[in-house]
Amino acid sequence: MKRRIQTILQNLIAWIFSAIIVIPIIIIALNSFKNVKESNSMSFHLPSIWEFTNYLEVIKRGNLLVGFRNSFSYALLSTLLLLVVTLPCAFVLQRRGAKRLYRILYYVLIIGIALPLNNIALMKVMVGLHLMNTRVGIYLLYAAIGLPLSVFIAHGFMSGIPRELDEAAVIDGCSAGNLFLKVILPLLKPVASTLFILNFLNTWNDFTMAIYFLNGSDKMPVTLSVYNFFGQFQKSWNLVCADIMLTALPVLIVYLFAQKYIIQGLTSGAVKG
Amino acid sequence: MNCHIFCTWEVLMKFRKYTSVLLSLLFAAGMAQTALADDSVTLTLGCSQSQLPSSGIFEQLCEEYEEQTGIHIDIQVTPDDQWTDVLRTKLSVGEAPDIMWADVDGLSIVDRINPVENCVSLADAEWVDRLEESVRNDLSVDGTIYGISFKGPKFWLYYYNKDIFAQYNLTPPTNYEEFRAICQTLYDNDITPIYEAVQEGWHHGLMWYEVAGVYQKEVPDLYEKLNTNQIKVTDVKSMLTVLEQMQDFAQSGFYGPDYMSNSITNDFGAMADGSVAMTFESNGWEQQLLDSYPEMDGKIGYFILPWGDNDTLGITPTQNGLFINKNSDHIDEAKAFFDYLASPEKLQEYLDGETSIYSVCWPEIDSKYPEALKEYMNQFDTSVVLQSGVKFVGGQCFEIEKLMASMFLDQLTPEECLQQIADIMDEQGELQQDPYWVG
Amino acid sequence: MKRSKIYPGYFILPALLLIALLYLLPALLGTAYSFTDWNRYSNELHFVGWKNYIKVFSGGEKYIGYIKNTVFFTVLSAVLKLGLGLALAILFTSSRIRLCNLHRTIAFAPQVFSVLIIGITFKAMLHPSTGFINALLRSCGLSFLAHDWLGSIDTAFGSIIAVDVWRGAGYAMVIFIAGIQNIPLIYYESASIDGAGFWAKLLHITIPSLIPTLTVNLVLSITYGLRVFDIVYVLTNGGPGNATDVINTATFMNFSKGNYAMGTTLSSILACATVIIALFIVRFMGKKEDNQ
Repeated sequence: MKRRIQTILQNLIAWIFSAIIVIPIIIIALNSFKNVKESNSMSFHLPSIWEFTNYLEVIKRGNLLVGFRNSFSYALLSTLLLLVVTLPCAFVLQRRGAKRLYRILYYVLIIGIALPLNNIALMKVMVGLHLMNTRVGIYLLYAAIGLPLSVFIAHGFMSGIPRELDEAAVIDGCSAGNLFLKVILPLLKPVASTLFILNFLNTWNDFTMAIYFLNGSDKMPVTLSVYNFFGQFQKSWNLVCADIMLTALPVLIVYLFAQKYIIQGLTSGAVKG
Repeated sequence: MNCHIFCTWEVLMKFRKYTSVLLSLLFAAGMAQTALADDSVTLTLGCSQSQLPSSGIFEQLCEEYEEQTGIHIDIQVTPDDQWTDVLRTKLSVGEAPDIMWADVDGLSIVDRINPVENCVSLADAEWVDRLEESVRNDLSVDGTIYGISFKGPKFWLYYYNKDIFAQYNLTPPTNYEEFRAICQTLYDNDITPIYEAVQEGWHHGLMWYEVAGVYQKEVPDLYEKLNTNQIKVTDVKSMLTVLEQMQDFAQSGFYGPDYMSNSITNDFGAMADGSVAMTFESNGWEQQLLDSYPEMDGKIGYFILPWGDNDTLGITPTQNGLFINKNSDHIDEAKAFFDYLASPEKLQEYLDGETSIYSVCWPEIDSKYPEALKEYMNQFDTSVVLQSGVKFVGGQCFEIEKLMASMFLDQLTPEECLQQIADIMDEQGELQQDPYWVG
Repeated sequence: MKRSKIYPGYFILPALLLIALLYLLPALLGTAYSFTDWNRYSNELHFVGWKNYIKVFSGGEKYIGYIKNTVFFTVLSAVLKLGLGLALAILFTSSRIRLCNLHRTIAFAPQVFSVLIIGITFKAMLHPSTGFINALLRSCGLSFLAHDWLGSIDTAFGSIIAVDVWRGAGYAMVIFIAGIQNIPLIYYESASIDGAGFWAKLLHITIPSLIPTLTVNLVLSITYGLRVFDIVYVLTNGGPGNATDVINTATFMNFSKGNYAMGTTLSSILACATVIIALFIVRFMGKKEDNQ
């Protein structure tokens, strides 16, 4: 009997926690269907009339189609670039970790996890490299931002791949490139998926980089579109909420499909460290 | 569900060669699209969210211009909070748009956009002499004009609910004592006297800035003296008095219980439902209220700010201006666009199309002030507000307003607050290497 | 087989190049600038030595206050995030909870939203009159608990920390879950046989085994806390007054004012402190693990 009460209690607590997390999301969803006056208070009440047209208005005024195309291309291409750069790097760093130089290089790479970005100095560098206000520049920038944590996670994962595999392949006459591409890479599916999803999410949600390093309304990502609906003198919370739903929905879906990999990847990095 | 990710990955890996070709094609396509040569000219125009008139009249004028000339105006909107910083940053790295809509009000022009370095002189434009004189001066440096502006002067008033005032036999105050008494009566009857929104960052500071007429009466040539570092704000007694009065109101509960967290855009609803008796807003607010709450017609009155027994109408002649980037490839087209906007028909269209403004800063176009307001305004002398006439106040990071907020919450005394305001001004003077500060 | 042949050095070059150019170079540049009077108003640069650093550490209460706030935020949010994360991890790995996976998914979900969105939402929810939190408290008869959460000095910082923990606990939880799942069940079984209760198992088996994951979580939380900006900026912008200003909001304010040199000075101080503290934690926890 005591066990039963304990079980029920534990389940109750679990549901309470989940409710705390979910409530703000529900509030946004509800308010996205209200008219301007009702949505002002961002309350939990159901809308008196369900204004589905809010979504259409947001798509038009927020230029969301262009924004989606931009966000998607930034997130996808910078993440792919990140993977291409990170995986071989983490592999070599882990395999040659016994040598001092490689340990030091590893620390240099992951120091970015702690190091804050210096925006103005960074801007001067981007100008000097002729990357300012270019799409290529943004891809490189996002990739660089995601690099430290990605190297850390990938490095941890690599230690789980036995060196015997490398030795076997070499005996069979593999070159370095082939070893990595044909033997190691297929085994990296889990961590690659994790890194892909984590970095895709982070890039999709970013807005500070876009404000400073991109010009032109044709280059704006979807995260900035919310600012179309509130400023100093005017706030249309219903449209803001509809915009939030539209811009967060893709990442939410990606997350739901792939949350297993995020967790797997994060943990493999964390446990083996 | 898990298959999806796996399958895609495997397919990608299998057809690595093709994948990389596909990717490079996508990449190239993305690049090409942006580089695609457009035969027609596009003018980029950078602005902030609140600079654009809410009715959409500006976008409409741009569309009409495009129909007429084929030149497309690409309006790039940046969030209010960041626009000033973003503009400066983009100018400093040479990436600013062709046309820049900058918040400049009098002395801040050099700080905000540094026209001599960054902008094209508009001295030979046809419309320069038709522009109102004080605005012309505000948009000029050393006698050369660099910008154009449209909105008429801005001033702030306390709007009050006539029904509530009638209910408690109150009449608009003519000095601070009366103002305080009115608020006390309302407070004692469980009505929030004044709607304040400190969280906005800029709103509460205006109470102190806008009654500069009081300070100017105490010290003749005040602005001249402050700007040449002959006196500090701590030497002006009335400045301290107004701060004390503002703090008194805060601590007596006259701003209501939520004043620290309110949004200023919610004052429409609060005034309409009678929970609040007065609000502090700019000219044109009444019109906007009636747009959403037509039942309030005839129920709103107004009076000038009574802080420090003020009896002048503080105005901000210029709030922002459009400037042309020196590095633009389309300077002539931008100039032509300005000429178009400055034509009498388009100015009239602008005024007609926007409900929240009463006038444009072009004397040839009649204003549309309601008669009653016009009569009321004519009673008072006007004075230029503090942030338009004095250097180093009105900064966009709202440092001074933050000090006032601390003062409301009793973290600072009014004396300390005023002293720290003086320190901030000195700090800016040294930073900007102003000759009167660094000698 | 020659190591350098099958694990070629050039594999790491692109990553190094990227980090060097876009991370390290700006950081070094920024530090160099902090010894000058770099500002928006003049194109000339003058070397001023340690002047900016001296101003920070002796500049009256202002800067020291920001540092205090940053430390306060960091410690409190880290402790709460890790504590809550651990509690949730233990709860959601218990065999008695139904739909564990659903709960875990929900707990991690806040990470999926951008800070801007979270800020906007919580700002509205924490409004004293119209916000959901106070409305809920009032409807439960707890109106004495209703505060102006973000607008009063006493509760502003706590509210920001609460929102940050809401967002970050799921991340910590996920890492702890992995650590817990790695603990062999045999340990628990033999402990049960020896008569150990819940708390004994927790203290003597679970927590010691979690030291590596604890280290990771600690480093991530602390480095995040020291560098925090977004969530404070969006919720209060350092207000009310200067009550919740942290180092990075001060950096931003300095850039706004045109005092770039002071901005990079604060940035450099922060970078230094963060790296040193992170290294310290790793070494300290590493020693603890060795002692196991």
